[in-house]
Parts: sequence; structure tokens; C-alpha cells
Amino acid sequence: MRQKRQWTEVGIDRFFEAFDRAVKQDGFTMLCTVSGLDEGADFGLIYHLARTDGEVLNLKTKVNKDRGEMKTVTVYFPSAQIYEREIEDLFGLKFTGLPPGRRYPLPDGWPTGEHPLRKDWSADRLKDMGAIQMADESIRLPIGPRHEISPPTDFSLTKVPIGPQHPALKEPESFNVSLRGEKIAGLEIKLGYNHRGIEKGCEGRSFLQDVYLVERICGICSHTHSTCFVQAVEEIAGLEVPRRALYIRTLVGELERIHSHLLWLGVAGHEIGFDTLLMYTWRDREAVMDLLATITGNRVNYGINAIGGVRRDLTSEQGAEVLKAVDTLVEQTKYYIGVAQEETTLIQRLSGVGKLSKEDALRLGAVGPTARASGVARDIRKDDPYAAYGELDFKVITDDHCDVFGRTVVRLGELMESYSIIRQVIKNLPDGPIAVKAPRRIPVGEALSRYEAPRGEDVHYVKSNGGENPERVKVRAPTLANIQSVSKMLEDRYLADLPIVVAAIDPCFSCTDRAVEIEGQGTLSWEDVRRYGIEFYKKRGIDFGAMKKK
Amino acid sequence: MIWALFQILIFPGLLFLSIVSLFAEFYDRKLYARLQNRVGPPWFQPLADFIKLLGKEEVVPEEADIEMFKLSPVFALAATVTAFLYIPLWGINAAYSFSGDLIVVLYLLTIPTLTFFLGGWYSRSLFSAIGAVRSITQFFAYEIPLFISLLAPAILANTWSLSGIAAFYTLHPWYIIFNLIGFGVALVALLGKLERVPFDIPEAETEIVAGSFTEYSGRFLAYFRMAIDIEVVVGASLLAAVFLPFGLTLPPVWGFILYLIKVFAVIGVLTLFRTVFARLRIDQMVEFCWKWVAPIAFFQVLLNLMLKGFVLR
Amino acid sequence: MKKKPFIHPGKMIELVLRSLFKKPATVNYPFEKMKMPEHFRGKLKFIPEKCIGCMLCVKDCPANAIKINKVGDKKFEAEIDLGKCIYCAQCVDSCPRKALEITPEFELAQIDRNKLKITFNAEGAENKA
Repeated sequence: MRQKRQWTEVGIDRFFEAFDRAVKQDGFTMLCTVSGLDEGADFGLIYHLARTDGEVLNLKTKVNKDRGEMKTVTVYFPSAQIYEREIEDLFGLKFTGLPPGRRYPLPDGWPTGEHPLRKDWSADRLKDMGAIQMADESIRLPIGPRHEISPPTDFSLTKVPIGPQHPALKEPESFNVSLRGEKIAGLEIKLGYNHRGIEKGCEGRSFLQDVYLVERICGICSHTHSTCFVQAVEEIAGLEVPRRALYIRTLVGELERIHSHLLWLGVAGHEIGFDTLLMYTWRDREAVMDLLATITGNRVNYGINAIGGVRRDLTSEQGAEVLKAVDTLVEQTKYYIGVAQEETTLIQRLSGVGKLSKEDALRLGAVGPTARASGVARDIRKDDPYAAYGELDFKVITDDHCDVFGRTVVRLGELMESYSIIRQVIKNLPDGPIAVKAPRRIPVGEALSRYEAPRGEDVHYVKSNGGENPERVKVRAPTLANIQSVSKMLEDRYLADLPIVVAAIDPCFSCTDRAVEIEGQGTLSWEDVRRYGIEFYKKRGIDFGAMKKK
Repeated sequence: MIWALFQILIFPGLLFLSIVSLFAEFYDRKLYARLQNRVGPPWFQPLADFIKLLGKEEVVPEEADIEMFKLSPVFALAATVTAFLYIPLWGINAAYSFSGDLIVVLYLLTIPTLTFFLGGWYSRSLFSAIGAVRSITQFFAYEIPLFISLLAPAILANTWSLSGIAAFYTLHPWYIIFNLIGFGVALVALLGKLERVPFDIPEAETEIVAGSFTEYSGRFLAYFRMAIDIEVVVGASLLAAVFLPFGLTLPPVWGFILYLIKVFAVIGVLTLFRTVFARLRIDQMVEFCWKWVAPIAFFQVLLNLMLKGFVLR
Repeated sequence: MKKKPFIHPGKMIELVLRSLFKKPATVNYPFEKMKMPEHFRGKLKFIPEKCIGCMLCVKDCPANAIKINKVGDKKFEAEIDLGKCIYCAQCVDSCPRKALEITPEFELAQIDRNKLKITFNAEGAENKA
């Protein structure tokens, strides 16, 4: 069994006392996430609390379904509100005491009473309601109560919708910005556009198939999710993964970190109008993608993990290729560090923007480079080592600038550390098998696995009931923890800072949302989709056909 | 009469200018791409873009003011083409010249900025409004340095006519050196006028979609884009005429080639700036222009006045 | 790392000017082809002689992209939907007789979705559905 994990279950009447003690006395000052479970007559709730030395307390309680409500813990952790809202939407358990806000992650028009992650819910229910029908007939979804945006109180403010479709955003999310001139006076964040139903999808597939499904939560962090999941399953099954496999996993993980950070540099450059930086960093990133294609067989969604180890071995030629590419990349990265330190326009746009003080970073639960740029030295690779990190020598990069420039500096520093880690891995690669045989039926148990994704801490909670399919898979992506700091960062800033501040947390909304999957919808032809769109807007009073051509 | 129409519409007017500016856009985009280690578009790309836009459907927002919406691009195009007629291209004489035409050219060049504002404002769309307001705010920042730096050589030459300036500097070619500071200032201010990085704030794609041009499509967008391209060539020609008036007595063909070289050199410098800088924020840009650019422009004027008064007599 | 204020506007100018004289980093696809590494996961290939009809590949496919049909005594054919396939090669690993192989062919785009369904018949020849 893995050390650094405590599992405790308390009844609901003693829960808050235990919670208070854990936070105030035992030093568990970070809330990773809250997992909801459907256990027949009750809802299970597991609060995953972490300590700075890497120990995680999984505090579980049960709430009877008939009682149907639970008190919130936002007084301890403001970041808990989004995890609790997720459980509210997907399970139907009401949390009392939550501050006012939008629902997450289901869309506004979702029918009431439909809670996808309950065990008795399946997507066929929507079909039975006559909601979704095959191609020729019209498509109707019974409209649930809409969550109205609060009416504007100050009419001198201009309300600008940034998103969900906007050139600044690489993925759909909605920021409704209230402007006074160029200054931001208010911000309303709406998420959930990329909800695809992966957690429910995992429950319907075997563990073996889930390795691939979980990998496709996100393209940039695919190895992160895959490894995190596989680590949890291996912990439940008690498998001893061979060291060579751990080293190969680390190698791919660090290559992924490099490609993610170079991508981020380019995107940050693009957001501030510096396309040249975009072109050069993405050109260098191609070398990493080619390496990954050679080692794993694909440029993204590597598929290198198997339960019990890795699927492919690393040959010595591949190792030599990696070292050669790393040498070139080290030179290029040193150049980019020079650009970041000296290019005047870049410094002007990035400094002083998106300030997040150390206290706020701790209070709002920021993770990853966002937190490390505010001086919070939190890195799962050091605090709670996994894969081969326990045996490798590297530094945790922090910075005191607390703004977007700091986040740039932290990521550039992490790139240099990654090169060093890769060199160590290739040099010390142990011999031996690359996998152990894993059973198809995973024994009863549960595990919490954490991984330092390029964006921050990724948390997977997996519960098995002894069968081939998992009982519950809960994923908490790092962007969900960071997005709550965005409102704070944008206080008193300009509209022009919004794209770069959002880009600075390195948002990956595909990781964040993962909604319910609706299978069996049948294929819609192009004409149907078009007709559906027109009908959708007609219901809302906008008639495209009647638009006068002037 | 026929000769005047020929000059206005064919050469060096609309047709010639369109061809040169489309080529200038290709040159700018190709150079930009090559500086970024990419391939870049083929030579006919800007022409293809223009023709494609002409053929696209025009979607006008319901609440927009139709007349202003439609007329803004036309005004922009007309103003820039008219400005070009006063610039001496090769040889000392322009197609039309009279005393004070420098001021007229500068005035005509402010009209496109105004039309960007009006077009964006009357689109009655959120992003267009923000872009339009930014356009005017930026205008207050760069216009004074641009004017002052262009007037400095005129003060030295003792004439307000572009042809007169050309004539003066042909007689005293070494005086061009005194205006180099002004040349630098004019290049920076021209970046602001042409709304290019680091001053492309009114059209910041990642912040306000397309600024004033968000609601434009089809023919009107084609005219606006053509107006911007022509403005680039006119601006570069103006700078070349005022700050680089050498070799104007060469025979016509050579003079024409020299003129093209000068214009493309100026455009090349503008492209280089576009490549190596990030976009500034509007408040940073205004601060920069008033703190640094305008004082240097005033210094250049002062220098020229002193030279004229004490040295050149 | 400390930042040095206003040191060098236009820092990238040397790199940028040098790139003018270098070959562009672009591969002129489709006129120049990219060569994929040897074990790149592209299209699947089925070897019917080796198949024993155990259906493990069908069971393990995360996307339900492969179907094995019995067309005779110890003769099987495979129907693969290239649109559903996620190119993970789990079926290749699951097959106990190595009857499935993955090839580096990646240019599989079609305009018609139906053309993406291919069948490898019992003789090993491929035909589109």
C-alpha cells in the first residue's frame, strides 16, 4: 500500500468536527478536490486534503439521499465552491451556504432532475423523454430553468462577451467583462463548454479501455492523465511496477512538459501580439514532437502506459536522439530566457499584470506555475514523489514577481530543469522488464493519485468494486483550481490584459470540463445540424432568415 | 482634362497605386514570413484576397447606420489616393503641386483614421466600438509627432510644398543628414498611423476580434483593406520624399526605380519593427508617444530652426 | 531571474535577420512528404491466416472500431471503422496470435464517412464497404 495516504470515514454528525481538526490542527491546509459517489441509499463524499509534506487525508462521509443536502466547506477553502457545485449538478446533492454563482458544468438549458453521474442514469433517459431523435425529425431538448445573468446595476458599464468563441481563447469558455472605458470593473466566468462526459464514460468501460479514454481528456496533458490513472489502478491492485517502466514514464512525462511549456510560450507571445515568438518556439517544439513520435508512436495521445508498466521499450538509438535534441533545445531555451529578460515590449506587457499575492494564491488554492510564481513552493514531484522522481535530482523553481512575468520565468526555469531530468533519466536508465502482467479484474479498493502536470497538480480518484469496470473515476484537472484566481488577478486591470492573464494560467478547458457523454444520438447530417442551429436561435427570438440584406 | 483623368485614375493614380500596394503587401508578408523562418504567401496572394473579398456576401448588422457604414471605406480609399497625387515620385515635380500641399497631404492622411473610427462606431457593435475609440485615442498620440517631424525638413527648406522641398534638397543634398532624427521619429509615428505592431492596438485580434472592421465583410472590407495597403505605400512615399530626396535628377526610368527602392526600403524597416516587437497597451502607447517621441520631434524642429537662423542664413 | 529594464528593445532582431538567409523550417506538404518514424501508429492491417476468432481485440477496443466476422471454418474477416479507430494499437497488443499489425500510413482522410469503413476479407485483401 502506498505511504502518505490516510483513509478515514466518519459519520455526518461528526464530520465537521473531524474536518476542522484536520485543517486547523493536523496541518492539512490544501483541498485537492471533493469526490462524490453514488452508493445506493447514500451519497458518498470524500474530501481529499493534502499537507505540504505530501501526506493526503481522504476524509469520507455519507449523506443519505433522502436528506439530500450538506453544508459547504467554503469557509475553510474558498476554492471548494466549484467542486461542490460540480457535485450539485452531477449528483443532485444540494450544498447549503454556497455563495451565489452559476451552475457548473452542465449547460443552462439542461432538464431539471437529470443528474448524470447517478448510477441509475443513462443517456437513454434523454432519448426516452423524446429529447433527441434520429436524423429527419426535429430535435428538442426539454428546457430546464435558465440561470439568468444578474441584471446590470451600473448602466455606464459596457458589457463585453469574451467567449465562448473569441480569437483570444484557444478553447471555449465565457468571460463576461464589464468595462469602464478600458478598465475592467467586473468579471463573470462561465465554464463547462467542453463538458464531454468522460467520468461517466469511464464507468461503462473496462480499466484497460479507460487508460485510452482518460488519455484523451486533453491533448497537451494526455500523458499526465494516463499516468495518474494508471498509478491509481496499480495502487489498488498492488502491482509493483518495474523501475525501467517508471523511468520511461518519467522521460515521456518530462518531454510532455517541455512541449507544453514551449507551446505556452508561443501562445503567450501570440496573445500579446508577438507572433515571432510564437513561430520560433513552435518550430523548436517540433523537435520534441518528432522525438515523442519516435519513442511512443504518436505525436499526441502517446498510448505508452499500460496497467503495470509501459507498452514500448526505449532503444539506445532513441536515447541518443533524445540527448542530441535536448542539447539543441537547451541553447534555444537560453535564448528565450534572454528575450524574456531584455525585450522591452514583452516586459511592458507582462510585468505588473495579473498580480496574485502569496496569501491569495494559498487561499484560492492555486497550483502549478501559477502558484510557484507567487512564491508558493509546491510541486508534487518533490512533495509526493511518483514514477522515478524520488531518485532524481532537480530544483523546484519559484519566483517572487507574483505576476505574469513571474509565471513566464517559472516556466522557462522548469524547461531547464526538465532538460537536466531527461539527461539523468537516460544516463541512469535501469535494465529489466518494462511491465508486469495486470489482472483484468482489479480487486476492491480505492486510491488517490497525484501528478504534476505542466499546468499544476492533477488529481485522480479511482474506486474499484472488484469488477472489470471501475466503480468511480474522479478527475480534478489543474486548471479548475487555477481558474478561481483569475477574477482576483484581473481586478483593476485593463481589457488588453485579459487574454494574457487567462493564458498565463495555461488554461486547458478540455481537462477541466469532461461532461456526460450522450451516446446513441445517431448521425446528424450537415443539413440537420444547420436546421438545428436555426431552430435554436429562432426560439430565442433571433431570425437569421429574416435578416435584411442591405 | 483627359490627361488629368489619366493621372488620377491610371498613373500615378488609382490603378498604378493599387498594383504597387498589392505588391507592397506581398513584399511585407513575404518578408515577415522569411524573418520568422517560414515560407510566406505567393506573389498573387493579396490580389487573390482582394478578389475573393469582392465576391463574398455582405452582412450588415441590423442596427448599423447604413450610409456611414458603406461610405467609410470609400472615403478612406479616396483620401489616400488623392494624397498620393501630391508626392513627387521621380523628378522634382509631382502630378499636382502648389504651395502648402504638404499640409494638404497630411490632412488627407488623417481622413482614413477618421473613417476607421466612423465605420467602427456606426457598426453599433461592441467590439467595433472599442476598436473605434482606441483608434481615435491612438490618433491623439502619434499625430503630433508625425506632423512635427514632417514639418522639420520643410522649415529648413523654407517651403510648404513637397515639390519645393524636393527642389531644395536637390540643391543642397548634404542637409538631408540634419533630418535623420526626424526620420526616426517619423518612422515610429508612421507605425502608429498605419496601425502596425507595436501600435496595432485598434485592431488587436486577440482582444477585440478585429476592432473597427469586425462587422465588415465582402466589398466594404475589400475597400478598407485596399485603403490600408495604399496608405502604407503613400506613407512610405511621403517619408521617402521628405527625408530621402536624393537622386531626383536622374533620368526618368532610373529615377522611378530609385523611388521604388526607397519606398520598399522604408516598408522593409516597418516590417522589421512589426517582427521584433510585441503589441503595447493603449495607455503605454500614449505615454510612450508623449514622453519620448513628441519631445524628440520638437527637438528636431528646434535644431532645424537654429540651423536656419544661425548657420545657413 | 531579475529583469533588466529597457535594456534591449528588439532583442530578437539578430535571430530574425539571420533567418532571412536560412531555408524556411516549413515542410512543403503535400509536395514534400513528411516521413513518419518506423513504429508510428497509423492504419491497421489484418492477417486473416493467423486469426483464431477469440474476439479479444473486439472486447478491448476502447472505441468499438473493429468487428470480427466468421465467414467459414477457421476463416475470419475483420471490419474496421477508420473513423472510430483511435489508433491506440491496443488490439495489436491484445491479439494472442499477432494477427493485427499497425502500419505508419496516416493519410486516411475521406470526404464520405462511409468510405472509412474497410473490410479485410478472409484472403487478406482489403475492400471498402
